[in-house]
Amino acid sequence: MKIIEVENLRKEYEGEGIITKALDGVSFSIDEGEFVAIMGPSGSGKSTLLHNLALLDKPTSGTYKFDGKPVENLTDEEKARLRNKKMGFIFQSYNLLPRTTVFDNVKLPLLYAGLKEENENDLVRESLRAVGLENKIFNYPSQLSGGEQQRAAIARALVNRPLIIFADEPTGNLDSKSGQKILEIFQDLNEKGHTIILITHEKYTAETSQRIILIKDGKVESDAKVVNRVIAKNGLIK
Amino acid sequence: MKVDDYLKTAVTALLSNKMRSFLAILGIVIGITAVIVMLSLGQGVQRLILSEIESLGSNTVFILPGGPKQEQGPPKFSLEMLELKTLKYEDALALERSGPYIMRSAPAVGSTASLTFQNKKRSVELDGVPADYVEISGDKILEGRFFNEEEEKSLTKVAVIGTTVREKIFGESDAVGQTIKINKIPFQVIGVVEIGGGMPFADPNDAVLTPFLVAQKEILGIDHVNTIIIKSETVETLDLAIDEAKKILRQRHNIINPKDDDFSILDPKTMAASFSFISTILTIFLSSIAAISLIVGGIGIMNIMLVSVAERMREIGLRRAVGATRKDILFQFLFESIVLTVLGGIIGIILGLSLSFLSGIIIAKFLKVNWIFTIPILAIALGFFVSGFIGLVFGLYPARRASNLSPIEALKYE
Repeated sequence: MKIIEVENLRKEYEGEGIITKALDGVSFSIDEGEFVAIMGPSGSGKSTLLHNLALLDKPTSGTYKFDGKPVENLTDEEKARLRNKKMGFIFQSYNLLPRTTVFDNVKLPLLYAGLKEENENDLVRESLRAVGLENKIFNYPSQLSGGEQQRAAIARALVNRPLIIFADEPTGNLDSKSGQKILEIFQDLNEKGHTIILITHEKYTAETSQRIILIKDGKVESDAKVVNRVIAKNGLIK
Repeated sequence: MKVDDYLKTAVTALLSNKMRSFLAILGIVIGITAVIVMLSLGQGVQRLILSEIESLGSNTVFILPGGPKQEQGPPKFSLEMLELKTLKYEDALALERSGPYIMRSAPAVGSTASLTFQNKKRSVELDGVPADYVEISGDKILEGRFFNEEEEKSLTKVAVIGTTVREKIFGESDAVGQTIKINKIPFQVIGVVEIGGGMPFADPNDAVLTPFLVAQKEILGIDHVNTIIIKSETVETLDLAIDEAKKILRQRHNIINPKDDDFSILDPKTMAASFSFISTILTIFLSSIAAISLIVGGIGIMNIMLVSVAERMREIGLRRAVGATRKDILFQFLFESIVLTVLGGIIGIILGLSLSFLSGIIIAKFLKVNWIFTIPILAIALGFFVSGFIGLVFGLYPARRASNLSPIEALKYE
């Protein structure tokens, strides 16, 4: 089943009389369970594409169906609810709240989900276990390494059991070893059925996915399955 | 988001910047403290005045010279009444021998006078009172005796002094038997009396009492009286005694139309109402001035909240990304400002009550009055809700600014 369908998506920015085309007629679809890397050089429009797919931004024109339903006419509140129930977010700079424990950081999306307290706590623990941070629940972000902080951010993205995870340059701030570990987690999650869309400008990172959509000047330059997929586990190529 | 989550988020945010939070609420703390102190002291003054009035006895009425002003509300006591000459000694005598309801009628004159003893000089309150003054007032003779009717009639120059005069002029040495000069006229001190009641914040014992006629004729050289005090048999017959007094005075002064009355009746109820009215107006006025600092405090809160929103743009973006609606963000920041101001309010209430209590002790000690500390329940409730309201009003703009940010704009903020 298709989880994302975009058709002729355009995003234009206007400033001082000049119109900049960030997305220029992008069309593709992504099936449930896919692990897709959106790759491209800096300024190619890949982040703009992710923000539009994640309903954080609004395209200038084009159609977008998420989980089979068009999203153009959704209200701000409906989009927020959709992000909360069906999407998970991972950012390059982790975006963890300082002076808030790992546990409470991971719990953040659940605050807006209206669940019962006991269920919330179970979900947080389960999520932290999935990324191997169950022993650091009462630590503060400043007490964690970069890799651990990103793992906490992944736990936060997983906590509401989303249909899809959007990751924007998740290894961009990490050393290679920590980055490797994060990619390993992504592959693991994908194997368990999670749909993942990963933004990167690194070929190696992109090749850990199953499919690479290459964006250049706001257009899809290529869209192909990964032939020699990098298996992050132990850094081996299968 | 649940209310307790909003609260927890607000407290975490405020605790993460303790000094700033403290400085932000300082304005509110000062404002609420000032309002509480003003209201508490205002209530205390009111109670003090009312208890002084009550101590006069609820079957006592003052007749003052001059007709009541043609205006609404209770008659107002004014200094010009002391200058009016419409009441005479004979009026008091006539009331005394009148009908069944007036039990006692006593004239009184009062003025400031200069008291000298050897090389000591003091400005005191001089009261010319009848020989049975202590029976009417209930004041206590501490040394010697009070003057009698004989001395009053024969215009004997004897004086009874208040405790303050005794202490300031004679100190440890004997006062009774000494000769003092009142406005340069020699008087023999025959007793010391502890005078109760009087006007609040004025020491009633800084006074000299002489026989009425001596004060009126010999010292002040006047023909009129300042007050006639009448007493009814019981509290229930007070109104009848007042009617009786009015009737007699109108007859004596040839007044047909009550509008032309050249005297006013000041009964305890009217006095209490009059003083309550004045002190309420004064309290409201002073509290309003204090409340201005609350507005200043509110602006301080708004300023801090705007800084907080600017500093936490990425947090706002993140929250929006993971599912917070505009309303969630609005409420989050509103809760923060309300928690801040209510906290300020609570501290202000505690400080205000402590200061009021301390002020009460100081007032009681230095002004020698029976100060009753009152906890102004209304002011506490008001302080609590006003501080919350300020948080709501002044927090709304920053909170709206935060909630109107687009998620991507907030996330991209550097």
